[in-house]
Amino acid sequence: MEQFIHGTLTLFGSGTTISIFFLGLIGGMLFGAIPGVNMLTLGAVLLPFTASMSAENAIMLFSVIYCAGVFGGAITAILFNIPGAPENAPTCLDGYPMTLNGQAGKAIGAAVSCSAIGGTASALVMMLATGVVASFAVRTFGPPEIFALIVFGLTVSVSIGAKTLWKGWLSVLAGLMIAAVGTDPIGGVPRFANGSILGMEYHSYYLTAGIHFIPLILGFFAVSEVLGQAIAIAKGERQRPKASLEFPTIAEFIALRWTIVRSVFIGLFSGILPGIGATLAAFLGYSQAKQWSKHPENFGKGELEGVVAPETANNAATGAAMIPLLALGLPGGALTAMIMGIFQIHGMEPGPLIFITSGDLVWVTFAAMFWANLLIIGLGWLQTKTVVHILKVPFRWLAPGILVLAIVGSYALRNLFVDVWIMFAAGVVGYLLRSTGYSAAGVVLGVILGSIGESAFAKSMQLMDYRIVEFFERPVSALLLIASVGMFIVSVVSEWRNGQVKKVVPG
Amino acid sequence: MIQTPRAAGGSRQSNQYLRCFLEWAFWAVLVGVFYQQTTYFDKDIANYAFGATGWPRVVAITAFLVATFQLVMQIHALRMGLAIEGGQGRAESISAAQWAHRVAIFMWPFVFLFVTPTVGAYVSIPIFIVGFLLLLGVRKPIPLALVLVIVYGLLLAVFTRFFYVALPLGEETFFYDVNVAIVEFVRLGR
Repeated sequence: MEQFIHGTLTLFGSGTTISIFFLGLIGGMLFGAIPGVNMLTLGAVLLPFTASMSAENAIMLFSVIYCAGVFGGAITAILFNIPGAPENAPTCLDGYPMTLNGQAGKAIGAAVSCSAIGGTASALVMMLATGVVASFAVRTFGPPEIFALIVFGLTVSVSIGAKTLWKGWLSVLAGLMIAAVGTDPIGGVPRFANGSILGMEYHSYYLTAGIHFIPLILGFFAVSEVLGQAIAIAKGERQRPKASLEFPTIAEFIALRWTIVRSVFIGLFSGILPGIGATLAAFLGYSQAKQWSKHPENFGKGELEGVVAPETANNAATGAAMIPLLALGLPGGALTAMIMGIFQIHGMEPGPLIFITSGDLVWVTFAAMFWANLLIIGLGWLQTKTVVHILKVPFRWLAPGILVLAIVGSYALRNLFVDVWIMFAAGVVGYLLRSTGYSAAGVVLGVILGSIGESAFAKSMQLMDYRIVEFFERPVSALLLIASVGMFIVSVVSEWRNGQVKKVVPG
Repeated sequence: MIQTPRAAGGSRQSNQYLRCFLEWAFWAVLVGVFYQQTTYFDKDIANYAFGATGWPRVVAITAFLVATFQLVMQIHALRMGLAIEGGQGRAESISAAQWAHRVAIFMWPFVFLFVTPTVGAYVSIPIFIVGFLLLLGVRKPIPLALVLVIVYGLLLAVFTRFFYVALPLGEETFFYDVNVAIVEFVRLGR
């Protein structure tokens, strides 16, 4: 407590530190909320400037951007069906239908509040138990456990956004196939970069680097949404969503308390594991909310719980992701990797000793993340009141702006125009996926987890000397794999009984 | 010829069978091509017995099995007289002009992609914006101009002036010069 108060006083004790704190907070929220750019764009732009800052300020800035950016991405997910970052993809599934139902204010209000709750809870855990949790996670979670967790995550999240279980699996498998393009994670062999189809040879340096998920996400969500809306306008069927400022009530939050608590735990658990992070947390949070809900049939149609669960879980993962970074020097995602870079720029090495050698830095970061999450409530509600009014602008005026932002966002990633091609192709495919009952979110999940899963599997095989049975001799991986098999059987039986088929209505 | 309700029902069901088989065939072809392409990098990797092809092939085979299982489930559902999810797409009668309009909405971004490397992004983006607005039915000059100015202005101010995202400048000399002139004006004011 004493250290936290000291960290808070250091944070708010100097004008420079306060300015940097608010720059990160407002910048993260804005960049998260602009389609086509995200917190990583802001991080990449600011990274060179951190060399001239003190290490405390630089790390604090990026930690605050991380918290605020994960929340900011929910706004575009809810208003336009365009997730600001992969971890906001499940938020689209119910957030956007809520906007179409004239409940945008309620959805964003819930996202704001739950992001703050999830983020604050994880900041508290980070402060109280970084050392213990990090050593537990590393001792318990080796490659076999991470592979088992990914299998579990895919099994429980597979039907998100799909009309049937099989379409969900096929969507995820399509994502895994896309993730296999590029260099193989063990031997560095280029895959699908050279070959021949129907006698036509191809050779692509681009494919050697793999297909990046950012153009895919922009295509599957932003471009396909714009195309879908454009077709609806052409058909004369589009209805403009109502811009409402009706926020969720306290009673609604109380009714969702168990969803929030469950999602906080899911977020903490997923965030701690390097490489898994907020994306799987959001998908798991959503799928578990649907599974435990009294009205699972309402999911995908504008259910408040479907916004609350992923937004709580993905923000709960932010603080948790700092635990392995600070305690062990293991970054869990792109932004935490940038933070790792800042440590290196300043000649520091994160690890257990950092709590002794740089206690001030650690506690300023903890305090900044805690206060950033609390301030998200106030600033987020203010942002909601202004951003919701964008819905009053006719979509046909907004559409070119969304596409131009998406074009720039996908191009700026690697300065490759082929990424823009990939984005538009994914847009058309995303449109077809939606109209045939497949899940764009499932494909994205497969792409993101595919390479992590393959790498974890390969390392496990080397570690276990190719004895697959050893997955079941390790308690955590055995538990996760058995739970996955159980979930799979339950979902197949449930699909057989009442999910996939409906009685034809005569006439 | 007037179609009886029974004939119409039979035709609808055979359409559903056809749809299921086409869906399966799509996956089979996709997986087949994917699997066949793995032969081009079928190399051994030191210290890893499954090589570079192990994982993609398992994924491909699993996808084929799931697609086949989906087909079996759909056929079972149809035989039981049940409707399959997403299988009741209603036929729409639309004119040739409406078709052309919808095709143009999908094709316009690809026209942009095709011409941009030649004419440069700073020339093609304003044309893309106006073209898309026209496709969306915006005809009044004031909204057309306003949206163009705001979107293009923000692009130049934020992404060229502030972040300097180096968008393609074009391959043709004339367009290259125009693009460079725009970038210089925005960044250097000359």
